[in-house]
Amino acid sequence: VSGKESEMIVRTDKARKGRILVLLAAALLLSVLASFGVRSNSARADDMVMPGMSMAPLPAATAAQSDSGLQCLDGGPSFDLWATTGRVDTPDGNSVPMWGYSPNSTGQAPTPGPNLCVTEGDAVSVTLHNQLDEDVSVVFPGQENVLAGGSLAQPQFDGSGNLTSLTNVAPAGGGEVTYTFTAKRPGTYLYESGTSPEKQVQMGLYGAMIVHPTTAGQAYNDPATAYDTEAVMVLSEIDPAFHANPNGTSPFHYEPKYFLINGKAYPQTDPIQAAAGDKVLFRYLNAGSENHSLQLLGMDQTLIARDAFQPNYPTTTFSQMVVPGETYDLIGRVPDGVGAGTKFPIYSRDLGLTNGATSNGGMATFVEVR
Amino acid sequence: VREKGNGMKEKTPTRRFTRRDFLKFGGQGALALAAGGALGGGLSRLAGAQSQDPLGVYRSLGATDGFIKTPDGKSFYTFGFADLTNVASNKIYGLKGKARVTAPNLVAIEGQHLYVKLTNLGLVVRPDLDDSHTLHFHGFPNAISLFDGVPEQSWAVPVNRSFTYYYNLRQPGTYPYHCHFEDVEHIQMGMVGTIIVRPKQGQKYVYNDASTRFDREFVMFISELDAEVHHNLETIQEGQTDWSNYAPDYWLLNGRAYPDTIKANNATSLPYQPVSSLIKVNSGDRVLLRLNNLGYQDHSLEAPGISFRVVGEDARPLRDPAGTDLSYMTGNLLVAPGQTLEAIFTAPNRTQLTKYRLYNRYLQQTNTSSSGGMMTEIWVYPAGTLGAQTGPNR
Repeated sequence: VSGKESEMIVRTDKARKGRILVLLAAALLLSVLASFGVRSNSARADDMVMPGMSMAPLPAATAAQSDSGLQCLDGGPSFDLWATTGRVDTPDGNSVPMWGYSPNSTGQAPTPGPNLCVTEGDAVSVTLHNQLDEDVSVVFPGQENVLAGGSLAQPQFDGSGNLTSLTNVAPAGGGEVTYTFTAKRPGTYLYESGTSPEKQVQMGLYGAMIVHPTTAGQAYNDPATAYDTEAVMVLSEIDPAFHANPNGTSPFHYEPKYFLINGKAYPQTDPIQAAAGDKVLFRYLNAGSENHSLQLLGMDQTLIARDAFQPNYPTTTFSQMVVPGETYDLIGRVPDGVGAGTKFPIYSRDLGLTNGATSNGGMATFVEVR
Repeated sequence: VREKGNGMKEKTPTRRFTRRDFLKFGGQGALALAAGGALGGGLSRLAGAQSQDPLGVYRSLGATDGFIKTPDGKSFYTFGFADLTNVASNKIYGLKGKARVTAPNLVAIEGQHLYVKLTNLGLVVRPDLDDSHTLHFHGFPNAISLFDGVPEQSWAVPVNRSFTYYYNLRQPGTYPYHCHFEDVEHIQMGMVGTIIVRPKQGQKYVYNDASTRFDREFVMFISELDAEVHHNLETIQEGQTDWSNYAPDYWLLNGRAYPDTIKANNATSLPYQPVSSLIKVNSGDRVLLRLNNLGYQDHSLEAPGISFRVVGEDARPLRDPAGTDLSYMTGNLLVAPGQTLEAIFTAPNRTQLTKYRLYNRYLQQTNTSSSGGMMTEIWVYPAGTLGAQTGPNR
């Protein structure tokens, strides 16, 4: 395949997908890359971009515009969350029942929960209101001295001494609990349920907490962590069989069929908007239960923190394995001079790139030059 | 074709030369060579000399079978090692069928010579299965094949025979050891343990490095249990095991699943899983976790409220040759299969007993509401409550 052909934009429509498939069969590598061929969400455009063998930036294609800027829950550093039900509608037409942390008392829970953004040194307060039929809680891995109702948050046991929760709960049927702590260190943190986490976290009770340093435009109190754009990427999986019957299904023999970034599977994922030359801060959080290796094409990414701890020596990589429960901060720099609409794929190299039985989906999105 | 009780037809297996046969052949052949050859003469001298070695540390293990328990009341057939150290030679067969999981920790100091006598006691439940066994010290530098326990390039110990493994301990750190005969199966069945080699710098250091000082240490031996594999061996169906279908049902710390993990050492209800994973510490203690993953899956332990500094991996300090500090802080301790990792945390200051949970963040392997979880507890007492630690996991 010549470079020229490989960069050719193939106009097609849904009835002519066969032609695409033939091209896909032409080269295995091409087929992998083609899973990122952009299919716009809009009804107007079904343009398909066949990316080249080279790692060169992809040519522009019509794409759904989406705001990838950091969206934070209002009211910080005091937050209210409601544990309730929701759904994730997947690109293959499935609609999966979820539980989650909702920013209000009336709506469905989003997946993941809202971003909780605070500043280093803030006295953080999170009040959890429970609208589910069972006890719910929040644990804050990476935070010390978390108080619940003013006392040190502690694991809960039933009358027989069996563990029922890793921390204090908002009881079923309208109960609530307030967690307070000081956000001592800047960085990226998960928050997630500590009550039967093997069930409740899998059901969607997780989200991201971002602690910014007092210096704006840096991830940490270190000029080397300066960035222009930041992108929170909460990774997770869904095993729909488990979601259909969470109280009657063993969490063992877990078989996820959907692989999500911020609760969405490609092509529903939001692209990360950045300008040419921008330093993009990727905040990877794995709320799922499987490893995901995030590969970025067309730029390098430098690891500046793991679990909100800066390493002695930053390492640069093109694939970053993100382990369940961990957070990783990496900075990539968009090359200078690339045109608006240029795309840089970022995707799960463990090939969580399907939506159920449908290919070209899953844990994938783009850095898109604006 | 014969009829089984349940009406299913079962083919009489065609006899073919298996890997197991090959290993058996190799093991016995080598032993015969040793018995008659010059090599064997050297070994005999070594064996005779050992009790005079002033640097010698002597341990004795018996390879056999047994059963372990899970918190849901089930019991699983295992292979493993019984501790024969200080057991009179005419009593060792009293431990046949009493394998423990995990095997005893072997603790010695850099510069000492480790002699481990392995006796193959045979199996009680499967007298037909005359597998040999070996000891493989995973990660020991400059191991020679003779003492490395890899049966394809050394010998293995047939039933009712003994062999003494010898190592000159040069490199401090945490090492796994396991039987290497039919290794995938024997490791899953429980023939696994941990070696701690202490540095010359002192008992309370991980390496010859002042920054690795600790007050208390806990071995966290990590493994999984696939019930089908154990069932197949108990019922003479091991040929039916398809390892590509490996799907564990239990996730274990020191051979136990939560809440058994927090029961005391030598708990009477768990006679063959003697090692507690309960981490009892004083406020302000520097606490060392020696993680040793001989399962077949990645595992990542976290304890909300506590962060760790990883100071060593695979029995190597995290420093480069120039001495640069490569240790790192993290909230999650990822341990790959076959890997060991040393992590130190400072216990938070508490004025009353405060409990933390250390659990596997691969959440399908942690289950707080029933059995099977890879989880334990960290109990932090006010400063000065606990006396000095008398050994790992105490």
